[in-house]
Amino acid sequence: MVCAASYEARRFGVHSAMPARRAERLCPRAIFVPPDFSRYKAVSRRVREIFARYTDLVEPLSLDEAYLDVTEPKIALPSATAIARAICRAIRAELHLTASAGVASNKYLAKIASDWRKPDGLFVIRPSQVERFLAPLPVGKLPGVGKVMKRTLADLDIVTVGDLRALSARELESRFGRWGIRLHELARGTDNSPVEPNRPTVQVSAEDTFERDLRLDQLEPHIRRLAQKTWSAAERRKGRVARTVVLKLKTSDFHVLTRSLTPSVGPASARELADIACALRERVERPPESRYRLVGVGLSGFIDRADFAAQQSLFEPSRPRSESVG
Amino acid sequence: MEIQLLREELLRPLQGVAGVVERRQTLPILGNVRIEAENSGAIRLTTTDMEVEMTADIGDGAREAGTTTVSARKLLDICRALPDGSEIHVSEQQGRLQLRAGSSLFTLGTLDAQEFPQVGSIEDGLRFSLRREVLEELLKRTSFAMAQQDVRHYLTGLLLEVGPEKLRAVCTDGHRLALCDAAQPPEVDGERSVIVPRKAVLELERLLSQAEETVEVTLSARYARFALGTLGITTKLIDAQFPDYNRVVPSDTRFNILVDRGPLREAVTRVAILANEKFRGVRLEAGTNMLKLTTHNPESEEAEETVSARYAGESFVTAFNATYLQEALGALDAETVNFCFTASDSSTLIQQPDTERLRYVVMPIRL
Repeated sequence: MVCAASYEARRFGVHSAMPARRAERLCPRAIFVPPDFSRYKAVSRRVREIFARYTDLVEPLSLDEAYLDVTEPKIALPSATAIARAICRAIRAELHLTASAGVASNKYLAKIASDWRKPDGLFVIRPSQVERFLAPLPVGKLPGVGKVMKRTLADLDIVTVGDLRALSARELESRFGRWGIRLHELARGTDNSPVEPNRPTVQVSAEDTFERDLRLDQLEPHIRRLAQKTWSAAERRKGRVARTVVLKLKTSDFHVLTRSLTPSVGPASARELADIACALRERVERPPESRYRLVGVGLSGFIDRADFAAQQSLFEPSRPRSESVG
Repeated sequence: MEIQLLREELLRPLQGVAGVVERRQTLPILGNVRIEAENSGAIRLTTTDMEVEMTADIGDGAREAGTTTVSARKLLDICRALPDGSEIHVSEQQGRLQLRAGSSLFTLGTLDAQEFPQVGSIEDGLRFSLRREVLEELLKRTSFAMAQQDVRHYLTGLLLEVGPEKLRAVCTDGHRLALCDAAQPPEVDGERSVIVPRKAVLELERLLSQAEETVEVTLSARYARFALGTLGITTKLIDAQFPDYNRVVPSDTRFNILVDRGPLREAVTRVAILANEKFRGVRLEAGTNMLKLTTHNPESEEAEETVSARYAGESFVTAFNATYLQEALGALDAETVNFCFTASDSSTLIQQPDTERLRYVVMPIRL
């Protein structure tokens, strides 16, 4: 399974969550590299140290993405754009990595902006440009608008953010409830969610939709890959540990099932998380030939590490939870 | 098929086998009880969840031979609700089961008995018989330590080790372990070690309290069968390797503390009230001739108890899950118990001073 594809490989149609065999067929000269999460984590930590020179308001989004609030930076530079440029330069000089940055007046616009000039670029959306910038974008660029939502909107002849703006808040609300109000705001570039450095984690999860629906017994490699992702994301919630493992499935006819387990001691590694998630398949009471279009692996029931008493195990060598790497 | 019975003659056996019927079944027929009436007059009730099969024999009552299956839950509810001493008449006609009792008439749906999954008889295997109390003690002293749900299937069962002059039960959930050797092991011609799944253990425990004096046990490669007079349990075995428990039972311990069991158990129960609800940690501090127990919770509430003990070694501190302590202390019955420690982060052995037959091992909580 492909975890990530380089920009060169992407030109051949290779993308993440694609079976390796298929990727090889599309791009026969591709070089396959096994993931090295401990190294990624180490680099990610160093990148975050660079962020910390400019602001403490850093909200990590994944191993390689974060929101920074530089309204009041630690080092006074003339603008947010100048800070973004300085950070990209530092990452290049110290870690020999390229980084892309987006500068805007709120989180979701900054995210769209950072995707604009990937892999190595800087894009700024000035407040005065927001409406003009958004209008031609496909609605799928808005956070929360996925495949299903896109189809629903397309049925209403809404393809771009500009089309969406034609609908009033009341119309959107009557159609989509509270989510409609949020859509109305997003269409106008409004997003008041703050950058939260210590967001209390409720649930961390990763999921994937397959190209072809799969049987339960074919899901293991996907569950293992997603467990790795979920684990990496959960590990960044410093000082918080999860106790509940959740397996999510969507059947070929779009029924969503979840199965969860709260062992007396939560999983201590990505492998344990994957083992539990795989085992939860046994609790799916559907005929073995049933097919699924999506699988997700989640962790919930987060508690402060301080409240967590480390119950020792009889049969496994105990290890400090914070250092365990799957 | 035709059956004529008194309510009590049907109710008791039905209650005996109903425990294995799950409320949510993957196959509808697993919600049913199979009723087999023979020409001899004998009746056999069978239930199953595909892992555990239970049977109950009723000596007499069949008027006409035949076999069918009907909802176990509904049949049980009907029998329960009928007045004491009712005479029940059951007959099957055109795929329906008719039950008459006094002025009551029930017509129940049936499913084809051919579809009912059955283990059948176990031909070969190690056979032995033992006294009911022997098996009852083994289960009572260990079953609480089985894991309730765990991906390590072998922990969700009871290890039964049988050999010449040896009958041992071991249960563990990975954090604590309970071991019991039978005081008077049965005569057995051979050796075997099997893991009996949790559900079968719990059902067996329930049935043993009302069973007859002798239990016949058959252990084959894949199944275990326990025949308790008119009741029987056949279970699939857990096909896995039980962890090497000998490795984790401490043999040479540094600190041995002798404590009165009753007062310690009560003290643990009291301090546990203010323990963290999720982790139930109790801190134990051993000093000269005393054991101090303390707990605290996230609201900064605290409890402290001191129990007198016989101890002259250096003082040290460790911590345990209160439930594990309570259950181990509850499974023992001597006046005093020995706590045998080696280090604050290694396992502790709890046992009675007079015997090594019962051993409880608890892993600490890291402080």
